[in-house]
Amino acid sequence: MSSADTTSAQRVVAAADHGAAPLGRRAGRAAFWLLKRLFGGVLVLWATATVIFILQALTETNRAKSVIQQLSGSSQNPTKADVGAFNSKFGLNESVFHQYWSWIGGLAHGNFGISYFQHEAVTTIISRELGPTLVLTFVALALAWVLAVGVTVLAAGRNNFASRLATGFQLLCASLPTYWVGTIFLVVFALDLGWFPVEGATGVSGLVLPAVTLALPVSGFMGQVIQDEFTSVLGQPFVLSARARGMSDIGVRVRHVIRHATLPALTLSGWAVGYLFSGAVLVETVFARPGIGSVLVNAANEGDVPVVSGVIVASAAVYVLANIVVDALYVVVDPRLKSA
Amino acid sequence: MQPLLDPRRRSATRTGARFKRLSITTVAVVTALALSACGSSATGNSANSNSSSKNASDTISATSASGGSTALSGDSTAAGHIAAQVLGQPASGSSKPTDGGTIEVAWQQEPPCLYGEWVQIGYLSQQYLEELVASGPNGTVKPMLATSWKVSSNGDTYTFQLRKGVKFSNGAPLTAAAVVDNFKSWFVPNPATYNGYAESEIGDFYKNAVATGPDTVEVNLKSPYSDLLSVLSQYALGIQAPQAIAEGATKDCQDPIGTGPFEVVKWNHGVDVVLKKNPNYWQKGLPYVNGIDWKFVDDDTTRYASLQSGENDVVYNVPAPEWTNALQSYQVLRYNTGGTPFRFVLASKWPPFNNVLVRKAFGYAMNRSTAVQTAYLGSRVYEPNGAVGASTPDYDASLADAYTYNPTEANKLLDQAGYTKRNAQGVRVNKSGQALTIKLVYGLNMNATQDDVNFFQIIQQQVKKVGFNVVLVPVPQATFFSSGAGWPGIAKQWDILPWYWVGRTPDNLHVIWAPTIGNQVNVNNPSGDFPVSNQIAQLVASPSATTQQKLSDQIQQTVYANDALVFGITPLEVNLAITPKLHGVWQRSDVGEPVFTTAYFAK
Repeated sequence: MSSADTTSAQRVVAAADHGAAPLGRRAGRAAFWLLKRLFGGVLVLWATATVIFILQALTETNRAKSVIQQLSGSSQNPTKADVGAFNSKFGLNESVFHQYWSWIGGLAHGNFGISYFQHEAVTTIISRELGPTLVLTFVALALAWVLAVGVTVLAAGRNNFASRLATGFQLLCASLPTYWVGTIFLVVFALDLGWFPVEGATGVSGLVLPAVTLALPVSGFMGQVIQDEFTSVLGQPFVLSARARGMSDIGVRVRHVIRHATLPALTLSGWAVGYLFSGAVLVETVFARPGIGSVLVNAANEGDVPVVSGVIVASAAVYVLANIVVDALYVVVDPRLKSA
Repeated sequence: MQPLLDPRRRSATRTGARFKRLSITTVAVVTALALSACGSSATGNSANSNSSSKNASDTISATSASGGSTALSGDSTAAGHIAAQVLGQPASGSSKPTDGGTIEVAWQQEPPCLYGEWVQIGYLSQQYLEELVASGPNGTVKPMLATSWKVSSNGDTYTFQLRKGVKFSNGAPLTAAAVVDNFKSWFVPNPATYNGYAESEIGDFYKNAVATGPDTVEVNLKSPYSDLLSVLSQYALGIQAPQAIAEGATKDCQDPIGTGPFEVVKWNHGVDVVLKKNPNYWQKGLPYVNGIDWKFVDDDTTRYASLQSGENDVVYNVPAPEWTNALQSYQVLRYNTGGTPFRFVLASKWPPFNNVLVRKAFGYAMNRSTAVQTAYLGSRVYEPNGAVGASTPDYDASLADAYTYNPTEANKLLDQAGYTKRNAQGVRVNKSGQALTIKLVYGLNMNATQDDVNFFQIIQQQVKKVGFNVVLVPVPQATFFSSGAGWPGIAKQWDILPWYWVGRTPDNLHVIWAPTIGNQVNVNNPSGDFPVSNQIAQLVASPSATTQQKLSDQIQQTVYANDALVFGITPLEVNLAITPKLHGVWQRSDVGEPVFTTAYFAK
């Protein structure tokens, strides 16, 4: 029944093309693509690690003094012996080049160094705290998708009050400051209505407000992008043809148009992961949630350089991986890209 | 009891004795955070009515609309509570104490380590560490891990008799040898255990500590030090198990072991410190509760909301907008911490504040009393004297009117100082074209809360009228600390630092204004300007209370009224809002640490 529509037609063509190719070649091509992307990802991580190293090497803070004073809670000057012991423990008395190679070499071996304050490996801290933040990030991303797609499918391409309201809602969402939204949600839904816990809860009920807070701005952005594409696809001949076959309006929108419209949103998702990950810093503070964001805030405040550096590299890794996944998903959503 | 030092006598003679020594108190200077200052008009026993509150340890209590809550007030209660702590009786409460439950506490700031001299560590470490002696109201000292003590006739040997049957939470007994280990560790130059507080307080006097019997510790001094007991009662000198000392910083910081009512189960960094009842606790039957979940909730709105939603039982530092609500709906405990008030320290060694006329102009351009009222909404009181707080002995109340709001006078002084023109932004400039820009540098959520920042912003607007351009510069804790002694890290990069120093020993003026403490430059005065070093030296040497009063007044007169080096804002305060169902919480007469030993949930 949908044989006339371009997408399906192309799918058939594409399938025929590749169906002819030996299975091994297809797998080989996919593996090469993945390798290429992973290599690119490693380059990005190396660049990130290098920039972080340069930045921390340029700071003028007397690190040994700051850490010793904070740990003892005293503003007395530490002795030279104390400072020396600290510097040799953390390799700060080595040359800058030596320090750089230890840092990069360590990263390559999964050794991110030891926290100045928590006395444990940075990788231990990150692996412990990454989970809650990843859950928050991806739940928020999923919510953003549901909101963006839902509003668009119902409202795009119509010129009535409801669609203008929907567009306005997306614009509003896109421009809402996360911290403010979080605080308002906290007061209204957690405190006044008592539907959700105010702070710290790690279960599902504790996830709702932080995830919605994070999702709203992203859904606004994605909604805007999807809606543009959606509106233009609605004018395509295959849509007209589908309608001519007597398909319902909502059926056309859901079955045919959405597939086209989600491509740009998919691109945005790679960006959104980064946005959500960094947004988690604020949201975790407002809702007193454990996670990588609150670790980063504390570490930055204390000047715990190994933790700050490690969290940034780990975040970059999440970002790189997310983008590889997004690129792979393109092909799934739009098989036309497979031959490209 | 004859050989024992009678605390009351000590208290009475404190004024006379207190400057007969060199070095002094230096509690964690930068001490930190968010101590909200205050003192309330609500209860009358406010810090500003100075003469009545000569001690540094008033527990002020405003309380409780809801039924059944503990109504505490004034010194008598504090005394009652100290007694309760030592005797093991419930402190207060209208119902019979019941066992069980976990107290959920929402604190604000997470300390970098669970052992140390910073006051932010002290609030927490008092839950699991105890000192040889305890501080009582009015500067008194009470038994704690030591049940009694003798002072030799020449005052240089203190012999402590330890309480029998006390065990650390790891099961090890409290012995004289363990206490000696602690003393030694404080003075060993090893950052893991070294105690800067002990060093700066008694480093100049301490000779050694010797176990003269299984339960007897002798502390020998090089020369008499009359405040030794008071120092030993401070939160920074909690006695740790030898195991914790031997294992060093990793153990100390993460999992300290003490004799206190609770023990550390786990520190989930960034989230909470989980404490459980110490099964070996020497006060039988205490604590009543099973444990404490001590959470770190930095955000003001979230922290207070977590009390309102019932998720937490105790919250620290009630934000100003919620103050009225807290007084109406919860038990509110307030403790007016001794020491210098939260104040502005002016950088008097470089322009523009190296000119006394500009400093004075700044003093007249601020309307501090109005700003305190507006920013803190009653959760704090105004303390004009930047030298010492009203609860300090020898506080000079006559200086209250030294700098009342007077823009005309401010304009006149700035004209005299050569800042005669204004630029396009309305900021005054001098002949060489330098604008009157003032950098106010503070550690956000470290030594300034959001309410404090609101206060700064109000001041910023007030002084703008006479042509000052105040720029607010928040810095992270790491920068604030590393800037350290002599503050070279941010030297010339600040013009005003908000500052305070907490402690209950009476040597506030000496701590801030002596050019050196021990052999080090005195870091307690960040400006590095010590105009009263002569008077401080005389004060230390003078045995006469009258002379001391006179010198003390002179010093306050100089640093505040004449030289305009410091401008007071509010006395320091630790405040707690507590759910009505939780009874028996009180605050120690040291720096207002909350005590949960006698706390219990009403049925």
